[in-house]
Amino acid sequence: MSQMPSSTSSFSLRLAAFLGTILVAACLLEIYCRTSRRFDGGDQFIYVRTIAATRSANTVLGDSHVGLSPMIDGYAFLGWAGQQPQELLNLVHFLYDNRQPGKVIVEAAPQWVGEYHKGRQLLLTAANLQPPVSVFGVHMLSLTPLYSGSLFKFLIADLTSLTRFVSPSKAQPLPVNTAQADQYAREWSRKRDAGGDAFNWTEMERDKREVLTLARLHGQNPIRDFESSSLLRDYVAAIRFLQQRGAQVCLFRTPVTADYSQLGRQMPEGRFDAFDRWIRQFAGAQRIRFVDFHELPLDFDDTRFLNQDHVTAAHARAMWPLVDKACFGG
Amino acid sequence: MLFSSYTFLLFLPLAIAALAVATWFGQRALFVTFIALSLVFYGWFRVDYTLILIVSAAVNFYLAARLERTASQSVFWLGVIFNVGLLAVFKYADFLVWNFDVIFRQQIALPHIALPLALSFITFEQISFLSDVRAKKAQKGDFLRYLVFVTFFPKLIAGPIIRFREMAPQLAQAGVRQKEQILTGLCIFCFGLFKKVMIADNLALVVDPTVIRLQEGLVRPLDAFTALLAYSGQIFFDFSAYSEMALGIAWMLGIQLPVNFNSPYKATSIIEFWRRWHITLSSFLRDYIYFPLGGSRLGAIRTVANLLIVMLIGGLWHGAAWTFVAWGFVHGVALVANHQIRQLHIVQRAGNHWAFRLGAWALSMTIVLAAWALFRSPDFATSGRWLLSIVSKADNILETTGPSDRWLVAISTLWALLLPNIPRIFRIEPDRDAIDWTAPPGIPLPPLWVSAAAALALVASLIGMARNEPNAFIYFQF
Repeated sequence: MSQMPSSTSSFSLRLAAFLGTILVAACLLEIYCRTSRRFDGGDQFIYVRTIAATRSANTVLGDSHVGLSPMIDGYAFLGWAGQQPQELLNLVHFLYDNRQPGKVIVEAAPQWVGEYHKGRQLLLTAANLQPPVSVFGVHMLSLTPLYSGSLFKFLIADLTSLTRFVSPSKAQPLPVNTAQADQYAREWSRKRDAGGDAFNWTEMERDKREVLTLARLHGQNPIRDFESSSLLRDYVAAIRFLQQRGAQVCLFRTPVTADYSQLGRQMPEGRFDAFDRWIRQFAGAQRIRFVDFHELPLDFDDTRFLNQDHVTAAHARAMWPLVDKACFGG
Repeated sequence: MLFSSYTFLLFLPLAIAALAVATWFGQRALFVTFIALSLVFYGWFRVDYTLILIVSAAVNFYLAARLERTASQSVFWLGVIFNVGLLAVFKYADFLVWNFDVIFRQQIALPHIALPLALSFITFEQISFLSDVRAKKAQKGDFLRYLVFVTFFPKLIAGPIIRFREMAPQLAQAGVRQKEQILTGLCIFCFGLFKKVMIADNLALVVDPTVIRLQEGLVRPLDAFTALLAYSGQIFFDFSAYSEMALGIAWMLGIQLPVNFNSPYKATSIIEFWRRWHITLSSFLRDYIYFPLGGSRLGAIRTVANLLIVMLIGGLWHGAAWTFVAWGFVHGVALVANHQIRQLHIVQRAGNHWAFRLGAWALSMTIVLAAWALFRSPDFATSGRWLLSIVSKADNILETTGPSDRWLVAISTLWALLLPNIPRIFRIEPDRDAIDWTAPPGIPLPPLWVSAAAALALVASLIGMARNEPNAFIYFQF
């Protein structure tokens, strides 16, 4: 084999360039992770940090209908928009593998097995819930799955101000399925931002509410053969795990508007009723208390909702203690 | 062990250190260390399959010994049957049984035998070895040397498909001998790692949701096209990354491997595409199947038939499914058409005009892209929907790709089309036939900026690797 023409100095120079670049780049990226405000602003970072900081034995687990703001004394609320059953399973293991659970309310809504989960990325992977990697005693945030997943997107966005890099493309809290619904969804966002706490669903015109509700139903419709799906398997596995760990489990069907319920029943290929039957049978067979929002002594007319399936913050504050009471008495 | 895993990044320096020590103790110690490390690397996936590797190598070496003495046709074909038979059992058993069931309306259960990694690659390598020994182009040497060739871990799992006569002469000088080789090899490896972790694995996240949806129905035209471009980028960056990582690691250990990719998407014809894509496979198909079948020497009809046979075999080699056969057939037909068209007078006259070349490039890439839909889809229905979605008006459905996905696809496509490739950056001869493998030219130290860029690629890749479990390379399944 031919020998490579090179002097020692040219080799040393290249080696220095190689090692020096590694050192400088690694330090700069780590500093960026620690100082960039983007990592403070992202909901997913707050969510994962909240999970890591959770010490409460009592929890309410679900998706955006649960959220992160505690609404019942003594409970941690751990819900993330579009959370998937596999994430729920990872979450209960993270929370209760080494800790005794207390009272756990789990959302029992059809979107756990909804169409919109197909192809979505998971936020709560086992890796994302791990503590940071330590290099020579320093916790390297840039080498944690959560930070590394967003680091380059944020960096590019900062360098070029192309903020659209940052906008999530797949885990939207409000999936829309038509150009019209997209337009109405933007209008809804504007009105909600402008209206603040006083905003409610009736401030959108009735026909627009219907379009948005249909769009949401399309995404949340349980997939075909959901009974045999991995989504439902993970959901069941999470609940069984909680039971095995000695938790008092309660399933709660979160509120939706009357339009949502009615259009869901009329929807071709709609499987909302099928899911409702399944969850009730499952709860019965497992001897788990199941609470439907209709059972609560509260009104659920459209003025109580922010959108098709999320109640206003004020109504949520009133509702959750009643859910606790309906689930566990007292 | 995956090249793009932290485990391998720990294994590699240990392997280099072990080989550096072994180099000191002489050739035999070096060969034993090579084999031991390769078996650890391979056994990391599944220990018992290392036995298949060793037995297969031993049988082929025995047959080569017989061939060296007699050049017997029957011994050679026995070797081919043994190698292809092994592949048939492990790779094609399900496919064969499934087709038998369908044709004869039987219900024989599928055996579901797990395919040992690398089997497709070493099958071709060992057939080329037997063929070269029979043709007196290679001498079998001793078994230890042959086992190093078969198990050599940088190229073991997914190629490049090398020939014994290319590697054997280099083994005399192999080992960890020059610090320049380690740095150069490391730089090549870093670029490959970046292509895999930061580009191919991210493109996979664009492709997969769309393909999942396509299994049930149409997707939006924009999503279908984005996903198709994304997959063409994913498979290119994934596989070329593996080949380049292999090239870099091998060079650290004193072995030069042939180049496997030479900017295939810059090709202006299907013929040229196959001279740039998976070069070591296409040259195997050319030298060990197409030429022995008669090549283009036996008239127009035989040439067409030979091209189609070669590409059908090439398609089936990739996977045990009719979609792969169809993919090979599409490329076979395109090659036949390409050979016919380039003989036309008007084509020969206009061939160098930029507008003609642009048109030829667009046509060639359209065929390549459309064929990728077959390659990626689990069935014909999905690939049909994929292509149909591109030209349909199905807008009233959930979107599967977003703006950031399209940015990634655009950047990766521009990279594949415009940036210089690894052979050019590192001044490596891309034409394996132009290299004298008894004294290969080697790979010179890269320029200073390349060293710095490789370091950046490494840092970015290490961070990228932290996101998830490492993804297997696409070609591992073949």
